[in-house]
Order: sequence, then C-alpha cells, then structure tokens
Amino acid sequence: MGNKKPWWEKWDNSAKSFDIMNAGVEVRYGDKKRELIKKTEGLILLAAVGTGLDLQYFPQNRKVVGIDISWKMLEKSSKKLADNPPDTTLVRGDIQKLCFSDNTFDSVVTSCTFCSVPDPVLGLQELRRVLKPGGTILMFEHVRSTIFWMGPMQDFITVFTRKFGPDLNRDTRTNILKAGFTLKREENLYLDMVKLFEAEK
Amino acid sequence: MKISDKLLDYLIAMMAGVATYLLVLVVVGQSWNMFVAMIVGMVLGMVVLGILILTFCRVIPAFEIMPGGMVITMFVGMATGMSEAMGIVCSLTLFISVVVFSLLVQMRMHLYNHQHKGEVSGG
Ligand SMILES: C[S@@+](CC[C@H](N)C(=O)[O-])C[C@H]1O[C@@H](n2cnc3c(N)ncnc32)[C@H](O)[C@@H]1O
Repeated sequence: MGNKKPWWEKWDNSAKSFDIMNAGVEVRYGDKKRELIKKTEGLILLAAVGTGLDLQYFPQNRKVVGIDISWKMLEKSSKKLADNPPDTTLVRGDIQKLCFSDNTFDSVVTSCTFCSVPDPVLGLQELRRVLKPGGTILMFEHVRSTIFWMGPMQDFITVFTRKFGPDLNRDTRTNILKAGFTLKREENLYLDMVKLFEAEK
Repeated sequence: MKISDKLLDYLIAMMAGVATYLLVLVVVGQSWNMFVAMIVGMVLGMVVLGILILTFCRVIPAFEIMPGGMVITMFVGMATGMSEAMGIVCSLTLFISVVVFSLLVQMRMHLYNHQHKGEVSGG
C-alpha cells in the first residue's frame, strides 16, 4: 500500500516560486491579457486562478470567482486580494468536476490553464456546462506548435516538464471544438505557440 | 514587438551559444572519444539553457527562450564537444561561428514569429 501523492501536488510545490518564474509572461503579455479580460461581463469564472497574477487585469467593476485545485496557489492569490482587486471569491475545486450549477457564469477566463488540467476536454466541457448560453470563454494559452521541428521538440520536453509543471504540447484548438464550443476568434501572439482564443457556448 | 525585447532576445541567444561553447571547452578534453564528447556537449548545453531560463524568466517567458535556446545550446554543445575532441578547429574560428550561428537562429525565430503572429483565419 503506497501513499500515492495527489496529482496536483506539483502545483502546491510550484506555488512558492510561481510569481518569479512567470513574471516574464506578465511583462510580455500583460497588455494582451488586459485587453482580453476587458471583454468579460457579468459573473466571471477565472479558471484556474493560480497565484492570482491575472486579478490585476480585471476592471474594478467585475465580479470574479477564482477556482484552483491547489491550496498553496489559493493561499498566494488570497494575499493579492488586498491589492485593490475586483470583487473576488476564491474556491478550491477541480475544473474537471465543478461544484457550480449549469448556466451560472456569463464569462469564463483561462490563462495557461489548459496546459495543466489533466483531461482538457473534460475540463472544457465542464466550463461549457457552467457557462450561460451565449456566454464566452476567453483563453490565453500556450499550445503545441505546428512548425515541423518545434512540435516534436515540445513533445520531448513535455516528458520532463509535466513532472513538475505544465504540458507544452496541448492541441487546445481541437480540445475547444471537441468540448462543443463555437470558436469565434483565434490569435497567435508568439509563433503559433502562444494564443488567444474566444469561443461561445 | 518592442526593439528592446528584440535586442534582449539576441543577447540571450548569444549568451546561450557563448556560455555553452566556453563550458564545453572547459569540460571536454582533446583525448575524449568523439561520441562521448558530443553527448556531453549537448548535456552541458541543456544545463546552460536551464540556467538562462531561471535567470531571465523575470523578463521573458520560459516558453519563448526554450525553442531557439534549445537549438542553439544543443548544436553548439555538440559541435564544440566534437571539434574539441578531434582538435581540428581553431578556437577563434569556432567562437565566431558560435556567435554567428546563435544570432542566425534567433533571427530565424523572429522571422517565424513574423510569419505566424496575428489573427488565424477560420478561428
Ligand atoms: C500554469 S498555472 C496557471 C495559473 C494562472 N492561471 C496564471 O496564469 O498565473 C496552472 C494552474 O492550474 C491549476 N490547475 C491544474 N489543474 C487543475 C484542475 N483540474 N482544476 C483546478 N485547477 C487546476 C494549478 O493548480 C495551477 O494553479
């Protein structure tokens, strides 16, 4: 009988250094994230909130529910709530099995989330379930490149990175469609590897 | 993309190449088996890349440093290891080739970015 570690333990472990390790993402893509998040309306689900780096991009008049599987991540994001954030509630939960009723949220925001959720299609289906009809999911995600040498390289690196962090080779566009969303917009921010997606229920 | 971002990308690319080159020169000796020298060179390149990512992740996302950086450090590590073991290439020639190669790889990354960036049709 081994005491098997929970799959999200890697996220607990990375919470401490997460802000420093990801500061570069905010430096280069902060403006793009702000622009994307400005499109949200009504009650918003931020999945996953992580250490709360994205809270700074929400306009003050928004109502946000931030969910994450990792207590340590949530602990760090709760500290950021002191820095003048939007009206935010933090919830511990699994995106693949959400505790909210159908058609609850007007918008969903994800940011480097679907490189991390173990079953991305299941996760996206759950987000679609809790989104109101006509509601929008806004996503900032890094994905597998179609450049002939880069995709295989990402497959190789993922063998290592997934042990302590994200998968680098997800096909998020296909996953969005598989989950039943209608893809409205796709923008490449860096190569065809860092992308914005806007999709509708 | 801002000019300062571009310059930083080139600087990091050059550092990746030069640091790998110097580290391999220090570690790999002339009497080494060529195949072993090549593998060790590649591994040392990966170490250099890891250090660069940790150093610069505050200003550049790791996923931007990684693709070009991996090409640079792997090839430079491999080539320096092999030529050091064979003792065939003059150090200055190799050093200049490393710098030029690193900059060319980064230039190609910027070109790739230019080609791919923007709205995806059918989105
Ligand atoms: C790469 S981090 C991104 C965090 C944040 N969105 C950001 O960009 O700063 C991925 C986050 O997803 C969370 N996560 C992964 N799988 C999850 C799941 N099934 N349910 C909820 N959160 C999950 C992790 O705990 C981690 O905080």
